[in-house]
Amino acid sequence: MLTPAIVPLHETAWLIRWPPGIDAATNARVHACAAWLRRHAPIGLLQIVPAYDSLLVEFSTTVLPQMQEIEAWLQWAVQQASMHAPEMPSAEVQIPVCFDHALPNDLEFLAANLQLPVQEILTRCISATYQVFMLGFLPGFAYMGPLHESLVMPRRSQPRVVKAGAVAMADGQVGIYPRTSPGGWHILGYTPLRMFDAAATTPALLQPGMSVRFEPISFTQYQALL
Amino acid sequence: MSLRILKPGVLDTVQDVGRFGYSHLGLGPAGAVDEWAMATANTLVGNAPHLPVIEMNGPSASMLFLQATCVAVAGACAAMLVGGLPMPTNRAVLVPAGTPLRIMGGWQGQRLYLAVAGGLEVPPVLGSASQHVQAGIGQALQAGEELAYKALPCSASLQPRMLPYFFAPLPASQVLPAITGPEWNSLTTLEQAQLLQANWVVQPQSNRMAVQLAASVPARPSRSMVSAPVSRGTVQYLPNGQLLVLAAEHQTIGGYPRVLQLARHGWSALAKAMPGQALRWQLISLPAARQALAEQQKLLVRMQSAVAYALSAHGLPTYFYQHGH
Repeated sequence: MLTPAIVPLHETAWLIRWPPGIDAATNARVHACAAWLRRHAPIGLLQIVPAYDSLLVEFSTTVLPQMQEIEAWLQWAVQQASMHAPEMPSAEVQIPVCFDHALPNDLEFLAANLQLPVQEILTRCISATYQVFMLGFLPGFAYMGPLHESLVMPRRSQPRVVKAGAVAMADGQVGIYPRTSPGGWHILGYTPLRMFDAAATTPALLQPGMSVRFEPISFTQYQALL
Repeated sequence: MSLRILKPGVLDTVQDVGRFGYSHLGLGPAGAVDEWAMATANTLVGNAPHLPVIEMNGPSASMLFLQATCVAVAGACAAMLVGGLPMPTNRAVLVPAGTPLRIMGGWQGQRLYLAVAGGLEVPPVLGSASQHVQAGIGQALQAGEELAYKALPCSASLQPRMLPYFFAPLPASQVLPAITGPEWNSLTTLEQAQLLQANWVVQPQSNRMAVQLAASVPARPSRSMVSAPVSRGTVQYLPNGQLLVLAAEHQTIGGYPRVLQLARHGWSALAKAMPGQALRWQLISLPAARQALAEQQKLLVRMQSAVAYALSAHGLPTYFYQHGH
Protein backbone atom coordinates (compact mmCIF):
# COMPACT_ATOMS: atom_id res chain seq x y z
CA MET A 1 0.00 0.00 0.00
CA LEU A 2 1.46 3.36 -1.03
CA THR A 3 2.50 5.59 1.84
CA PRO A 4 1.06 9.06 1.27
CA ALA A 5 3.22 12.19 0.94
CA ILE A 6 3.66 14.59 3.85
CA VAL A 7 4.15 18.28 3.10
CA PRO A 8 4.19 21.24 5.49
CA LEU A 9 1.26 23.65 5.16
CA HIS A 10 2.39 26.24 7.70
CA GLU A 11 4.64 26.72 10.71
CA THR A 12 2.85 24.12 12.80
CA ALA A 13 0.82 22.03 10.33
CA TRP A 14 1.28 19.36 7.69
CA LEU A 15 -0.81 17.96 4.88
CA ILE A 16 -0.90 14.24 4.23
CA ARG A 17 -1.70 13.67 0.58
CA TRP A 18 -2.87 10.57 -1.24
CA PRO A 19 -3.14 10.29 -5.06
CA PRO A 20 -5.66 12.96 -6.11
CA GLY A 21 -9.27 12.05 -6.73
CA ILE A 22 -12.68 11.55 -5.22
CA ASP A 23 -13.21 7.86 -4.56
CA ALA A 24 -14.39 5.78 -1.66
CA ALA A 25 -11.25 3.65 -1.39
CA THR A 26 -8.82 6.57 -1.08
CA ASN A 27 -11.17 8.38 1.25
CA ALA A 28 -11.40 5.32 3.50
CA ARG A 29 -7.60 5.42 3.85
CA VAL A 30 -7.79 9.11 4.77
CA HIS A 31 -10.21 8.30 7.60
CA ALA A 32 -8.24 5.28 8.75
CA CYS A 33 -5.10 7.43 8.96
CA ALA A 34 -6.98 10.19 10.80
CA ALA A 35 -8.33 7.68 13.32
CA TRP A 36 -4.87 6.19 13.89
CA LEU A 37 -3.28 9.63 14.39
CA ARG A 38 -6.03 10.66 16.78
CA ARG A 39 -5.55 7.51 18.87
CA HIS A 40 -1.79 7.96 19.15
CA ALA A 41 -1.53 11.74 19.11
CA PRO A 42 1.35 13.44 20.90
CA ILE A 43 1.04 16.58 23.00
CA GLY A 44 0.13 19.74 21.15
CA LEU A 45 -2.22 18.29 18.52
CA LEU A 46 -4.88 20.91 17.73
CA GLN A 47 -6.95 19.31 15.04
CA ILE A 48 -7.08 16.76 12.25
CA VAL A 49 -9.16 17.77 9.21
CA PRO A 50 -9.95 15.20 6.52
CA ALA A 51 -10.89 15.96 2.92
CA TYR A 52 -11.37 13.68 -0.10
CA ASP A 53 -7.75 12.69 -0.60
CA SER A 54 -5.80 14.65 1.98
CA LEU A 55 -5.57 15.27 5.69
CA LEU A 56 -4.52 18.38 7.62
CA VAL A 57 -2.71 17.74 10.89
CA GLU A 58 -2.30 20.91 12.91
CA PHE A 59 -0.36 21.52 16.11
CA SER A 60 -0.48 24.32 18.66
CA THR A 61 2.16 27.07 18.63
CA THR A 62 2.99 26.01 22.20
CA VAL A 63 4.99 23.15 20.65
CA LEU A 64 6.71 25.33 18.04
CA PRO A 65 10.16 24.38 19.45
CA GLN A 66 9.41 20.68 18.75
CA MET A 67 8.50 20.86 15.07
CA GLN A 68 11.35 18.58 13.91
CA GLU A 69 10.51 15.88 16.45
CA ILE A 70 6.84 16.13 15.58
CA GLU A 71 7.57 15.86 11.87
CA ALA A 72 9.64 12.73 12.52
CA TRP A 73 6.79 11.26 14.56
CA LEU A 74 4.32 12.11 11.80
CA GLN A 75 6.44 10.33 9.13
CA TRP A 76 6.54 7.22 11.31
CA ALA A 77 2.87 7.44 12.34
CA VAL A 78 1.59 7.79 8.76
CA GLN A 79 3.62 4.76 7.72
CA GLN A 80 2.18 2.78 10.66
CA ALA A 81 -1.33 3.88 9.79
CA SER A 82 -0.95 2.91 6.13
CA MET A 83 0.13 -0.62 7.15
CA HIS A 84 -3.17 -1.20 8.90
CA ALA A 85 -6.21 -2.10 6.85
CA PRO A 86 -8.86 0.62 6.54
CA GLU A 87 -11.26 0.54 9.46
CA MET A 88 -14.66 -1.09 9.12
CA PRO A 89 -17.23 1.61 8.40
CA SER A 90 -19.12 2.84 11.42
CA ALA A 91 -22.77 1.89 11.94
CA GLU A 92 -25.12 3.01 9.23
CA VAL A 93 -27.06 6.21 9.81
CA GLN A 94 -30.57 6.39 8.38
CA ILE A 95 -31.66 9.89 7.39
CA PRO A 96 -35.43 10.33 6.90
CA VAL A 97 -36.07 12.36 3.73
CA CYS A 98 -39.33 13.72 2.38
CA PHE A 99 -39.36 13.76 -1.42
CA ASP A 100 -42.96 14.95 -1.59
CA HIS A 101 -43.58 17.87 -3.96
CA ALA A 102 -45.33 19.67 -1.07
CA LEU A 103 -41.77 20.87 -0.37
CA PRO A 104 -40.20 22.54 -3.40
CA ASN A 105 -37.54 20.34 -5.01
CA ASP A 106 -35.78 19.86 -8.35
CA LEU A 107 -36.95 16.30 -9.13
CA GLU A 108 -38.88 17.31 -12.26
CA PHE A 109 -35.91 19.36 -13.48
CA LEU A 110 -33.56 16.42 -12.83
CA ALA A 111 -35.92 13.98 -14.58
CA ALA A 112 -35.96 16.17 -17.68
CA ASN A 113 -32.16 16.62 -17.71
CA LEU A 114 -31.16 13.09 -16.76
CA GLN A 115 -33.80 11.56 -19.05
CA LEU A 116 -35.05 9.37 -16.24
CA PRO A 117 -38.48 9.17 -14.61
CA VAL A 118 -38.66 10.79 -11.15
CA GLN A 119 -39.45 7.43 -9.55
CA GLU A 120 -36.30 5.89 -11.04
CA ILE A 121 -34.17 8.76 -9.71
CA LEU A 122 -35.63 8.25 -6.25
CA THR A 123 -35.16 4.47 -6.36
CA ARG A 124 -31.48 4.87 -7.26
CA CYS A 125 -30.94 7.48 -4.52
CA ILE A 126 -32.67 5.43 -1.85
CA SER A 127 -31.08 2.10 -2.69
CA ALA A 128 -27.53 3.38 -2.29
CA THR A 129 -25.33 3.50 0.79
CA TYR A 130 -23.24 6.66 0.86
CA GLN A 131 -19.90 7.30 2.52
CA VAL A 132 -19.36 10.66 4.22
CA PHE A 133 -16.22 11.87 2.43
CA MET A 134 -15.73 15.00 4.51
CA LEU A 135 -17.52 17.94 6.10
CA GLY A 136 -17.00 21.51 4.99
CA PHE A 137 -18.60 24.63 3.43
CA LEU A 138 -20.88 25.00 6.49
CA PRO A 139 -20.73 23.42 9.96
CA GLY A 140 -22.36 20.02 9.62
CA PHE A 141 -22.48 19.96 5.78
CA ALA A 142 -21.44 16.43 4.81
CA TYR A 143 -20.18 15.62 1.30
CA MET A 144 -21.41 12.08 0.59
CA GLY A 145 -21.02 9.65 -2.27
CA PRO A 146 -20.62 8.05 -4.58
CA LEU A 147 -23.85 8.80 -6.37
CA HIS A 148 -25.01 6.45 -9.16
CA GLU A 149 -23.27 7.48 -12.41
CA SER A 150 -26.62 7.97 -14.15
CA LEU A 151 -27.41 10.74 -11.67
CA VAL A 152 -24.31 12.86 -12.15
CA MET A 153 -25.26 16.49 -12.89
CA PRO A 154 -23.07 19.58 -12.69
CA ARG A 155 -24.07 22.12 -10.08
CA ARG A 156 -26.40 24.97 -11.01
CA SER A 157 -24.78 27.96 -12.71
CA GLN A 158 -26.59 30.33 -10.34
CA PRO A 159 -26.89 29.53 -6.65
CA ARG A 160 -30.16 30.34 -4.88
CA VAL A 161 -31.42 30.27 -1.31
CA VAL A 162 -31.72 26.68 -0.09
CA LYS A 163 -33.80 25.88 3.00
CA ALA A 164 -32.37 24.09 6.04
CA GLY A 165 -32.64 20.31 5.76
CA ALA A 166 -32.49 20.25 1.95
CA VAL A 167 -30.98 17.01 0.66
CA ALA A 168 -29.25 17.95 -2.58
CA MET A 169 -26.87 16.60 -5.18
CA ALA A 170 -24.24 17.76 -7.68
CA ASP A 171 -21.16 16.35 -9.39
CA GLY A 172 -21.82 12.83 -8.22
CA GLN A 173 -22.21 13.70 -4.55
CA VAL A 174 -25.04 14.21 -2.08
CA GLY A 175 -25.17 16.74 0.71
CA ILE A 176 -27.62 18.05 3.29
CA TYR A 177 -27.79 21.78 3.99
CA PRO A 178 -27.69 22.19 7.79
CA ARG A 179 -29.20 25.66 7.60
CA THR A 180 -30.79 28.01 5.12
CA SER A 181 -27.99 29.33 2.93
CA PRO A 182 -27.10 30.09 -0.68
CA GLY A 183 -26.51 26.83 -2.53
CA GLY A 184 -25.83 25.55 -6.03
CA TRP A 185 -26.83 21.89 -5.68
CA HIS A 186 -30.05 20.28 -7.00
CA ILE A 187 -32.61 19.60 -4.29
CA LEU A 188 -33.97 16.06 -4.02
CA GLY A 189 -35.97 16.42 -0.81
CA TYR A 190 -35.81 17.57 2.80
CA THR A 191 -34.91 15.98 6.10
CA PRO A 192 -36.59 17.14 9.31
CA LEU A 193 -33.45 16.26 11.29
CA ARG A 194 -31.19 18.93 12.76
CA MET A 195 -27.78 18.32 11.11
CA PHE A 196 -25.80 20.70 13.30
CA ASP A 197 -26.40 22.08 16.79
CA ALA A 198 -23.54 23.90 18.54
CA ALA A 199 -25.26 23.38 21.90
CA ALA A 200 -25.49 19.58 21.56
CA THR A 201 -22.94 17.15 23.05
CA THR A 202 -22.30 15.81 19.54
CA PRO A 203 -22.76 18.97 17.50
CA ALA A 204 -22.86 17.29 14.07
CA LEU A 205 -25.14 14.43 13.18
CA LEU A 206 -22.82 13.17 10.42
CA GLN A 207 -19.06 12.66 10.82
CA PRO A 208 -16.39 11.88 8.22
CA GLY A 209 -16.27 8.18 7.39
CA MET A 210 -19.87 7.35 8.38
CA SER A 211 -22.19 5.33 6.15
CA VAL A 212 -25.52 6.92 5.29
CA ARG A 213 -28.80 5.74 3.75
CA PHE A 214 -31.92 7.74 2.98
CA GLU A 215 -35.30 6.57 4.25
CA PRO A 216 -38.29 8.04 2.39
CA ILE A 217 -40.99 9.56 4.58
CA SER A 218 -44.29 11.26 3.83
CA PHE A 219 -44.99 14.94 4.17
CA THR A 220 -47.08 14.24 7.27
CA GLN A 221 -44.25 12.26 8.86
CA TYR A 222 -41.84 15.06 7.92
CA GLN A 223 -43.97 17.65 9.70
CA ALA A 224 -44.29 15.40 12.75
CA LEU A 225 -40.52 14.98 13.04
CA LEU A 226 -39.65 18.68 12.71
CA MET B 1 -23.19 42.35 34.73
CA SER B 2 -20.23 44.67 34.43
CA LEU B 3 -19.95 46.16 30.93
CA ARG B 4 -22.85 47.72 29.09
CA ILE B 5 -22.66 48.37 25.36
CA LEU B 6 -24.03 51.86 24.75
CA LYS B 7 -23.45 52.11 21.03
CA PRO B 8 -21.72 49.25 19.21
CA GLY B 9 -19.80 49.53 15.98
CA VAL B 10 -20.64 47.43 12.94
CA LEU B 11 -20.25 43.74 13.82
CA ASP B 12 -18.50 44.11 17.19
CA THR B 13 -18.16 40.65 18.75
CA VAL B 14 -16.57 38.82 21.65
CA GLN B 15 -13.51 36.89 20.53
CA ASP B 16 -10.74 34.81 21.97
CA VAL B 17 -8.24 32.57 20.20
CA GLY B 18 -11.07 30.49 18.72
CA ARG B 19 -12.42 26.95 19.04
CA PHE B 20 -10.28 24.08 17.85
CA GLY B 21 -11.16 20.47 17.26
CA TYR B 22 -14.28 20.92 15.14
CA SER B 23 -12.87 21.73 11.71
CA HIS B 24 -13.53 18.14 10.63
CA LEU B 25 -17.23 18.96 11.21
CA GLY B 26 -17.01 22.06 9.02
CA LEU B 27 -16.81 24.42 12.00
CA GLY B 28 -13.61 26.44 11.76
CA PRO B 29 -11.86 28.09 14.71
CA ALA B 30 -12.96 31.74 14.17
CA GLY B 31 -11.34 33.91 16.88
CA ALA B 32 -9.77 37.36 16.76
CA VAL B 33 -8.65 38.44 13.30
CA ASP B 34 -5.64 40.36 14.69
CA GLU B 35 -4.30 37.87 17.19
CA TRP B 36 -1.31 40.01 18.11
CA ALA B 37 -3.47 43.04 18.91
CA MET B 38 -5.69 40.85 21.09
CA ALA B 39 -2.62 39.44 22.85
CA THR B 40 -1.27 42.97 23.39
CA ALA B 41 -4.51 44.32 24.86
CA ASN B 42 -4.75 41.28 27.15
CA THR B 43 -1.10 41.45 28.25
CA LEU B 44 -1.39 45.15 29.11
CA VAL B 45 -4.05 44.39 31.70
CA GLY B 46 -2.21 41.34 33.04
CA ASN B 47 -4.26 38.72 31.19
CA ALA B 48 -3.20 35.53 29.48
CA PRO B 49 -3.00 36.49 25.78
CA HIS B 50 -6.15 34.66 24.70
CA LEU B 51 -8.77 35.66 27.27
CA PRO B 52 -12.06 36.90 25.78
CA VAL B 53 -11.99 40.47 24.45
CA ILE B 54 -14.28 42.67 22.37
CA GLU B 55 -13.27 42.90 18.73
CA MET B 56 -14.41 46.23 17.29
CA ASN B 57 -14.73 47.03 13.62
CA GLY B 58 -15.70 50.69 13.88
CA PRO B 59 -16.64 53.22 12.82
CA SER B 60 -16.92 54.11 16.51
CA ALA B 61 -18.23 52.56 19.72
CA SER B 62 -19.13 53.47 23.27
CA MET B 63 -19.65 51.44 26.40
CA LEU B 64 -20.01 51.83 30.15
CA PHE B 65 -17.94 50.06 32.82
CA LEU B 66 -20.37 49.37 35.64
CA GLN B 67 -17.61 47.94 37.82
CA ALA B 68 -14.04 49.08 38.43
CA THR B 69 -11.50 47.43 36.17
CA CYS B 70 -8.25 47.85 34.27
CA VAL B 71 -8.88 48.25 30.54
CA ALA B 72 -6.64 48.35 27.47
CA VAL B 73 -7.41 48.89 23.79
CA ALA B 74 -4.99 47.81 21.05
CA GLY B 75 -4.96 47.33 17.27
CA ALA B 76 -5.77 50.15 14.87
CA CYS B 77 -4.76 53.73 15.71
CA ALA B 78 -7.81 55.42 17.17
CA ALA B 79 -8.69 58.25 19.51
CA MET B 80 -10.44 57.33 22.73
CA LEU B 81 -12.21 59.12 25.58
CA VAL B 82 -12.28 57.38 28.96
CA GLY B 83 -14.52 59.10 31.48
CA GLY B 84 -14.50 62.06 29.10
CA LEU B 85 -10.69 62.29 29.19
CA PRO B 86 -8.58 61.57 26.09
CA MET B 87 -6.58 58.40 26.64
CA PRO B 88 -4.12 56.68 24.31
CA THR B 89 -4.63 53.15 23.10
CA ASN B 90 -1.90 50.58 23.85
CA ARG B 91 -1.92 51.54 27.55
CA ALA B 92 -3.51 50.00 30.64
CA VAL B 93 -6.06 52.36 32.20
CA LEU B 94 -7.59 51.90 35.67
CA VAL B 95 -11.24 52.91 35.60
CA PRO B 96 -13.58 53.35 38.55
CA ALA B 97 -17.14 51.97 38.48
CA GLY B 98 -19.43 54.04 36.27
CA THR B 99 -16.80 55.11 33.73
CA PRO B 100 -17.87 55.49 30.10
CA LEU B 101 -15.47 54.71 27.25
CA ARG B 102 -15.86 56.09 23.77
CA ILE B 103 -13.85 55.15 20.70
CA MET B 104 -13.93 57.98 18.18
CA GLY B 105 -14.22 57.46 14.41
CA GLY B 106 -11.51 58.00 11.83
CA TRP B 107 -9.22 55.05 12.56
CA GLN B 108 -5.91 54.38 10.91
CA GLY B 109 -5.99 50.67 10.29
CA GLN B 110 -8.62 48.05 11.05
CA ARG B 111 -9.87 46.29 14.13
CA LEU B 112 -9.50 47.31 17.74
CA TYR B 113 -9.45 44.97 20.70
CA LEU B 114 -10.66 45.87 24.19
CA ALA B 115 -9.51 43.79 27.14
CA VAL B 116 -10.49 44.02 30.81
CA ALA B 117 -8.53 42.61 33.72
CA GLY B 118 -9.43 38.93 34.19
CA GLY B 119 -11.10 38.73 30.79
CA LEU B 120 -14.75 38.93 29.82
CA GLU B 121 -16.78 36.14 31.36
CA VAL B 122 -18.80 34.77 28.50
CA PRO B 123 -20.38 31.29 28.56
CA PRO B 124 -18.31 29.23 26.10
CA VAL B 125 -19.82 27.39 23.16
CA LEU B 126 -17.85 24.27 22.24
CA GLY B 127 -14.99 25.40 24.43
CA SER B 128 -14.59 28.99 23.25
CA ALA B 129 -16.11 32.41 23.84
CA SER B 130 -15.56 33.36 20.19
CA GLN B 131 -18.67 34.49 18.43
CA HIS B 132 -18.83 33.01 14.94
CA VAL B 133 -21.79 34.76 13.40
CA GLN B 134 -21.32 33.09 9.99
CA ALA B 135 -21.64 29.69 11.65
CA GLY B 136 -24.64 30.68 13.74
CA ILE B 137 -22.75 30.93 17.03
CA GLY B 138 -23.40 34.22 18.80
CA GLN B 139 -24.28 37.50 17.19
CA ALA B 140 -22.95 41.04 16.93
CA LEU B 141 -23.10 43.03 20.17
CA GLN B 142 -26.27 45.09 20.48
CA ALA B 143 -26.90 48.43 22.17
CA GLY B 144 -27.92 47.80 25.77
CA GLU B 145 -26.29 44.37 25.89
CA GLU B 146 -24.25 43.61 29.01
CA LEU B 147 -21.16 41.46 29.47
CA ALA B 148 -19.71 40.20 32.73
CA TYR B 149 -16.24 40.56 34.24
CA LYS B 150 -14.89 40.45 37.78
CA ALA B 151 -14.59 43.83 39.47
CA LEU B 152 -11.01 44.85 40.23
CA PRO B 153 -10.37 44.04 43.89
CA CYS B 154 -8.88 47.34 44.93
CA SER B 155 -10.07 50.88 45.54
CA ALA B 156 -9.69 52.85 42.35
CA SER B 157 -9.30 56.60 42.20
CA LEU B 158 -12.26 58.75 41.27
CA GLN B 159 -10.72 59.40 37.83
CA PRO B 160 -9.50 57.03 35.14
CA ARG B 161 -5.75 56.61 35.62
CA MET B 162 -3.29 55.46 32.98
CA LEU B 163 -0.56 53.06 34.14
CA PRO B 164 2.93 54.15 33.10
CA TYR B 165 4.17 51.19 31.04
CA PHE B 166 3.68 50.75 27.33
CA PHE B 167 4.97 48.68 24.43
CA ALA B 168 5.71 49.86 20.92
CA PRO B 169 3.23 48.31 18.52
CA LEU B 170 4.60 46.10 15.76
CA PRO B 171 5.94 48.32 12.96
CA ALA B 172 3.40 48.85 10.18
CA SER B 173 4.37 46.87 7.13
CA GLN B 174 3.46 46.82 3.47
CA VAL B 175 5.23 43.49 3.02
CA LEU B 176 3.54 40.16 3.68
CA PRO B 177 5.95 37.33 4.47
CA ALA B 178 4.82 34.01 3.03
CA ILE B 179 5.97 30.47 2.46
CA THR B 180 5.04 28.65 -0.73
CA GLY B 181 1.71 26.85 -0.69
CA PRO B 182 0.93 23.25 -1.73
CA GLU B 183 -0.11 24.40 -5.24
CA TRP B 184 2.67 26.97 -5.75
CA ASN B 185 4.25 24.74 -8.40
CA SER B 186 0.99 24.57 -10.35
CA LEU B 187 1.80 28.16 -11.37
CA THR B 188 4.14 28.77 -14.27
CA THR B 189 7.42 30.56 -13.53
CA LEU B 190 5.95 33.65 -15.16
CA GLU B 191 2.81 33.50 -13.02
CA GLN B 192 4.92 33.09 -9.91
CA ALA B 193 7.05 36.10 -10.82
CA GLN B 194 3.97 38.22 -11.61
CA LEU B 195 2.41 37.31 -8.29
CA LEU B 196 5.54 38.25 -6.33
CA GLN B 197 6.17 41.50 -8.20
CA ALA B 198 2.62 42.84 -8.17
CA ASN B 199 1.12 45.42 -5.82
CA TRP B 200 -1.85 43.69 -4.25
CA VAL B 201 -4.61 46.07 -3.19
CA VAL B 202 -6.96 45.23 -0.31
CA GLN B 203 -10.53 45.09 -1.63
CA PRO B 204 -13.48 46.53 0.32
CA GLN B 205 -15.32 43.17 0.36
CA SER B 206 -12.69 41.85 2.77
CA ASN B 207 -14.20 40.62 6.02
CA ARG B 208 -13.71 38.16 8.88
CA MET B 209 -13.80 35.26 6.43
CA ALA B 210 -11.02 36.42 4.11
CA VAL B 211 -9.07 39.38 2.80
CA GLN B 212 -9.50 39.87 -0.92
CA LEU B 213 -6.52 41.20 -2.86
CA ALA B 214 -6.53 42.45 -6.45
CA ALA B 215 -3.67 43.39 -8.74
CA SER B 216 -3.23 44.04 -12.44
CA VAL B 217 -2.30 40.43 -13.00
CA PRO B 218 -3.94 38.51 -15.85
CA ALA B 219 -6.76 36.17 -14.96
CA ARG B 220 -5.85 32.54 -15.39
CA PRO B 221 -7.97 29.69 -16.73
CA SER B 222 -9.79 27.93 -13.94
CA ARG B 223 -7.86 24.79 -13.03
CA SER B 224 -10.07 22.46 -11.07
CA MET B 225 -8.66 21.04 -7.90
CA VAL B 226 -10.07 18.41 -5.60
CA SER B 227 -11.22 20.31 -2.51
CA ALA B 228 -8.70 20.11 0.30
CA PRO B 229 -8.20 21.45 3.82
CA VAL B 230 -7.15 25.06 4.28
CA SER B 231 -6.17 27.09 7.30
CA ARG B 232 -6.02 30.71 8.37
CA GLY B 233 -3.37 32.42 6.26
CA THR B 234 -3.84 30.14 3.26
CA VAL B 235 -3.70 32.22 0.08
CA GLN B 236 -6.04 30.99 -2.64
CA TYR B 237 -5.58 31.97 -6.28
CA LEU B 238 -8.99 32.68 -7.80
CA PRO B 239 -9.82 32.15 -11.49
CA ASN B 240 -10.32 35.92 -11.90
CA GLY B 241 -6.70 36.55 -10.93
CA GLN B 242 -7.46 37.80 -7.42
CA LEU B 243 -6.05 36.37 -4.23
CA LEU B 244 -8.06 35.36 -1.21
CA VAL B 245 -6.13 35.30 2.08
CA LEU B 246 -8.16 33.26 4.54
CA ALA B 247 -8.89 34.98 7.84
CA ALA B 248 -10.57 34.06 11.11
CA GLU B 249 -13.92 32.72 9.85
CA HIS B 250 -12.56 30.86 6.82
CA GLN B 251 -14.30 27.79 5.47
CA THR B 252 -12.46 24.66 6.47
CA ILE B 253 -12.17 23.14 2.99
CA GLY B 254 -11.33 24.94 -0.26
CA GLY B 255 -11.31 24.16 -3.95
CA TYR B 256 -8.99 26.90 -5.21
CA PRO B 257 -5.22 26.45 -5.57
CA ARG B 258 -3.33 27.23 -2.36
CA VAL B 259 -0.39 29.14 -3.80
CA LEU B 260 1.02 30.79 -0.69
CA GLN B 261 0.70 30.61 3.06
CA LEU B 262 0.90 33.94 4.93
CA ALA B 263 3.46 33.52 7.70
CA ARG B 264 1.86 33.72 11.10
CA HIS B 265 4.02 36.61 12.27
CA GLY B 266 2.56 38.58 9.35
CA TRP B 267 -1.11 38.01 10.26
CA SER B 268 -1.28 41.24 12.25
CA ALA B 269 0.02 43.40 9.39
CA LEU B 270 -2.68 42.02 7.09
CA ALA B 271 -5.38 42.33 9.76
CA LYS B 272 -4.62 46.05 10.07
CA ALA B 273 -4.49 46.77 6.31
CA MET B 274 -7.33 48.98 5.13
CA PRO B 275 -9.21 48.73 1.83
CA GLY B 276 -7.17 50.48 -0.84
CA GLN B 277 -3.85 49.70 0.78
CA ALA B 278 -1.21 48.09 -1.46
CA LEU B 279 0.80 45.13 -0.20
CA ARG B 280 3.54 42.95 -1.62
CA TRP B 281 4.48 39.37 -0.97
CA GLN B 282 7.90 38.26 0.15
CA LEU B 283 8.81 34.59 -0.02
CA ILE B 284 10.56 33.22 3.03
CA SER B 285 11.60 29.70 4.00
CA LEU B 286 9.65 27.60 6.48
CA PRO B 287 12.53 27.66 9.01
CA ALA B 288 12.63 31.46 8.72
CA ALA B 289 8.88 31.63 9.31
CA ARG B 290 9.17 29.42 12.39
CA GLN B 291 12.07 31.53 13.66
CA ALA B 292 10.12 34.77 13.24
CA LEU B 293 7.12 33.27 15.05
CA ALA B 294 9.38 32.13 17.89
CA GLU B 295 10.76 35.69 18.15
CA GLN B 296 7.24 37.06 18.41
CA GLN B 297 6.44 34.56 21.16
CA LYS B 298 9.55 35.67 23.08
CA LEU B 299 8.49 39.30 22.69
CA LEU B 300 5.14 38.46 24.28
CA VAL B 301 6.87 36.78 27.22
CA ARG B 302 9.07 39.89 27.74
CA MET B 303 5.93 42.04 27.72
CA GLN B 304 4.29 39.76 30.26
CA SER B 305 7.32 39.98 32.60
CA ALA B 306 7.32 43.77 32.43
CA VAL B 307 3.59 43.92 33.14
CA ALA B 308 3.90 41.45 36.03
CA TYR B 309 6.38 43.77 37.77
CA ALA B 310 4.38 46.91 37.03
CA LEU B 311 1.00 45.56 38.14
CA SER B 312 2.36 44.12 41.38
CA ALA B 313 4.00 47.51 42.09
CA HIS B 314 0.51 48.99 41.83
CA GLY B 315 -0.99 46.31 44.06
CA LEU B 316 -2.96 44.85 41.16
CA PRO B 317 -3.45 41.14 40.34
CA THR B 318 -2.38 39.39 37.17
CA TYR B 319 -4.27 36.70 35.26
CA PHE B 320 -1.51 35.18 33.14
CA TYR B 321 -2.48 31.64 34.06
CA GLN B 322 -6.20 32.06 33.69
CA HIS B 323 -7.97 30.03 31.07
CA GLY B 324 -11.06 31.34 29.34
CA HIS B 325 -14.25 30.86 31.38
